[in-house]
Amino acid sequence: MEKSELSVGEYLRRLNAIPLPMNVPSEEVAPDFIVGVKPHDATQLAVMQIPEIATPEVKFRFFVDGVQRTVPICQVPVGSFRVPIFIAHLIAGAMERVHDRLNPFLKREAIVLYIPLEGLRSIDSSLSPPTTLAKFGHGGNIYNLIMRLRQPRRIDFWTDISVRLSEAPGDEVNLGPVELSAVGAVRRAARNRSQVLLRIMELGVVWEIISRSIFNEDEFVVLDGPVFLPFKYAGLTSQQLATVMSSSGEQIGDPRQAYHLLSHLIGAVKQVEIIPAQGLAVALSLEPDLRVPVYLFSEMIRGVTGDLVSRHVVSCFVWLRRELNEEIPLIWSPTSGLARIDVPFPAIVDSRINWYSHDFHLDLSDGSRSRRRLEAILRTVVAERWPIPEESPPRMLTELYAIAETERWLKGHLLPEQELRGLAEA
Amino acid sequence: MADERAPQIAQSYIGRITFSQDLPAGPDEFWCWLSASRGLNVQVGSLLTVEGEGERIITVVSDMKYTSVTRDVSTEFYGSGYGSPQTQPTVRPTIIRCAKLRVLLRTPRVLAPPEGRWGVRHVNDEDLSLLSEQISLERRILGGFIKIGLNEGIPESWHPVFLHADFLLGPQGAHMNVSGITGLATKTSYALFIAYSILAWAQANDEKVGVILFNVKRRDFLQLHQIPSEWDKAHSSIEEWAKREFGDGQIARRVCALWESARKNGVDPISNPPDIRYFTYQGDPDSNLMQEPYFVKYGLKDITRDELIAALYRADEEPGEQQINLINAYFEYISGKDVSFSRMMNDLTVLGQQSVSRASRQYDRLASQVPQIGIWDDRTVNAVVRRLTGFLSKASHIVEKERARAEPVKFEMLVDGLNVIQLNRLHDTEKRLLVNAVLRIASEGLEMPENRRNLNRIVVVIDELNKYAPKRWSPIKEQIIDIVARGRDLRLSLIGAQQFASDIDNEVLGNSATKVVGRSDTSEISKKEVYAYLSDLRDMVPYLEKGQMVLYHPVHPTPFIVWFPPPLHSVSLPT
Repeated sequence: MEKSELSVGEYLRRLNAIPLPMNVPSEEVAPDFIVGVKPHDATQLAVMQIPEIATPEVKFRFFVDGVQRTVPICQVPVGSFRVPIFIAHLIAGAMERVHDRLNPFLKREAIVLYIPLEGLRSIDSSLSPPTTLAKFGHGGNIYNLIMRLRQPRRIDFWTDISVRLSEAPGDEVNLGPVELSAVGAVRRAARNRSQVLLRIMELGVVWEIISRSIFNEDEFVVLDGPVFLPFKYAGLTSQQLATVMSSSGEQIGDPRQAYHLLSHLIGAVKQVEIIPAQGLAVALSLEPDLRVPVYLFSEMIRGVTGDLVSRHVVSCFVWLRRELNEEIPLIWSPTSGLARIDVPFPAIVDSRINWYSHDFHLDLSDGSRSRRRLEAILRTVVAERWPIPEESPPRMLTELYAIAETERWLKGHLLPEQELRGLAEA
Repeated sequence: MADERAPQIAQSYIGRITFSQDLPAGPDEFWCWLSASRGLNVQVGSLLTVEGEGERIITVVSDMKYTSVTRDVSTEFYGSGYGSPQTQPTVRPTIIRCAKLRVLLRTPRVLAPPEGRWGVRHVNDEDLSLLSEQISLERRILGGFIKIGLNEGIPESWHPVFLHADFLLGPQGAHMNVSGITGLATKTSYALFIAYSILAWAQANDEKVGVILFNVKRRDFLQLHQIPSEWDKAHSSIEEWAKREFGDGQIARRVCALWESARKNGVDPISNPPDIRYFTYQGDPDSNLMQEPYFVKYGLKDITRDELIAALYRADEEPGEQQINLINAYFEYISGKDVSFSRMMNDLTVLGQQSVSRASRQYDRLASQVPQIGIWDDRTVNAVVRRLTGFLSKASHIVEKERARAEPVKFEMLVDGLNVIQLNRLHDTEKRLLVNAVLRIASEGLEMPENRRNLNRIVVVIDELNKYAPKRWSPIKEQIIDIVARGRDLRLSLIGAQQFASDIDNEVLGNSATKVVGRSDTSEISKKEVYAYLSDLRDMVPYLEKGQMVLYHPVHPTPFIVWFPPPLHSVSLPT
């Protein structure tokens, strides 16, 4: 009984946690510069010609993004070394465009304690979990737990970063005693866990928007990042989404539900890591119209820094702001000015079509419905290229203003490091 | 009748206090950001209320900044279709609107920055009542109105602002100074509005106040009796006036609403007109405009030595000490005697000839005529004689040369109401003589025992104050300096107006507890030592409309913008 009443601060003190000095940096470094790209075989389906002065032909109505701040707060002495404990503030949300203005629409947040508990217990089996906090673990339903929150500005959750959250292949690894002795490995695990949890929250937000809103056929949700990435974690998001993907997170599990989610969703990837091995030069054409090559990758491919392409998604490479490329001296690689628009098949094909099948062939021939629809989406992307977001040079070239604004809105809600540390001391 | 209630400005929060490194909060001023919604109706000069944790702060918006995340213009340029003004972005880039708030009132009183990111909203009647409650009911003199509603055409949109009688009329403080560009700042109109307010306050509090209005130019105060006999007629006159002057019905509705609001607060010159008495000079072509005017004239024995000195010399010159000494000596010599200006001229002429005549055979004959005031250098005497000659030739309207005493304005002639004294078309020397003589009888009268006087307070309204109290040293301003210094004890209050407060004597300006500025030009307002009290509102002054004033009153720690209606006689008369 006494155990169940322990506050987070008391729990950490029981672990003999040693507070970290305030000047230890937080784990929110997310470099915008991709130091290397990963060419991969892909089929060029078409090259779209989009006028520079385009008018929106569909409506990008919602913009979804996620932000996080992950802060090391203390170290737990175990054996001969000290293992860091983290606290993360995770926020995912969406803004809705009403006429020409963006309005906050939905925001979900969670403050999570990151403890590499299983790893620690392999050294000291007497260590117990924080029983007053709900656990984000294999059991999933994470987004549902977050939705139930009444007071978001306190620590309500914990997660074991020494155990991979998902069965799906990814960046996460289990941390044993050897890895725990390397602070860098624990830090990387914390950062990766934040990324995974954010993807889960973003998918949850998309799911909530699509469930709560009535969409016209031409209205879309624009997700910041690869459109299929969060779907890897659908099984962990909520019970309702558990069957959308296969247990590995690689295959479509429930095509009908997946179609429902994906038919109004596109992804705007500003940091393109995975590129087709050939033919991309056409995107860098200086013809009066923009040339947008459309590719299909044959399988799900993961990048090192969180990029992902899927065989259910067409990847459209757009040189969004080619006029600026030479204005910004920092950009020395033309491909770094390319943005990728991820358009899942359901967004451009009819629901009656067997889009998830391995045998499915996307028809982008002139006059086809899919081509018309894809063209309309790409024209809208080009129309969205002004204004530019005020950010670092690569983002200036590849990010959509509305996504940047959504990120600014969400970032504005992140608690400062000191306040996060304070929460853990209470 | 439709329901015309309604300050229509939403009472929900429109912003929150910000505590950022670039905009930190201080105890007397801090910043807030404002909602992204349009139509907030906030501008420099607006009053906003900040509240949180049981505290309420009424503030004045003293500055505003609109910003965005864009760091420099190049992003704006490139971001608009690569420098294409025709580009219509699909998303309107966010503008962050910030307002600097200066504390006007805080309850409870705390001299520290706000403790949290408290909500900001428009002021309402209840907030402004707190402002009024700083002044007890019997000390409230209407000073103007603050706009709290969107519909300017209804009285409910205008909340009264009061001045504290003890700080306007004494004894805590006294005097008001009004500055602004002639023709645009509506200084005279505001002074008259305050005069009516003072009289309304006096009547309600059984005070006998005589307001002396010097009519410096045109016919500003000459037809005060010609106001409409009923409010309905007044409204019609206001509508015609607004149509004629501005071609704008909205202004008429605003003026009617302001007067309605003034009436509700006891200022009603139509239902309760004050007594009016006019004083002018023989030969004034405008005397027919006045109602039964008194004609005034001054003999030498009706004025003091200082008044004569002030009349003889210009404001911008420094008279020789010997000349002043001579005039002093002569006034001592004629003390108790009935001496006219002609006699004075004769005496000084003879005195001037004394040194010449000593050497001549005429000495014995002249010696008996020489006033016994000592030996003077004939150059000094002749200089004074020349001054006197010049003065008498210029001051023919109000100077009686042959008689020692004439028909001056006397204290007992002043009415409990408005006393208009005509200065228009008089020579500057005459104006100075008349103004100083009237100020003297006012102060002397108030020093008399209470049972021997019909007035217990006097308010003097004078335009072009710089002519009577210039900044540089000058003997002509001694009387005004004395009055402003002692005025709050005497209950003699000066409402002075001029284009440039920087032209006014520091002591006169410094003793004016209440300071008011109408529209002024940037070069004048930029004189920070004179207008420091305006703080950031200084930048707003060149843009004030007619009928708007920035008011600083010592009861409130920060100035704010008030509105007032034009005088009723001015809207009733044909142009």
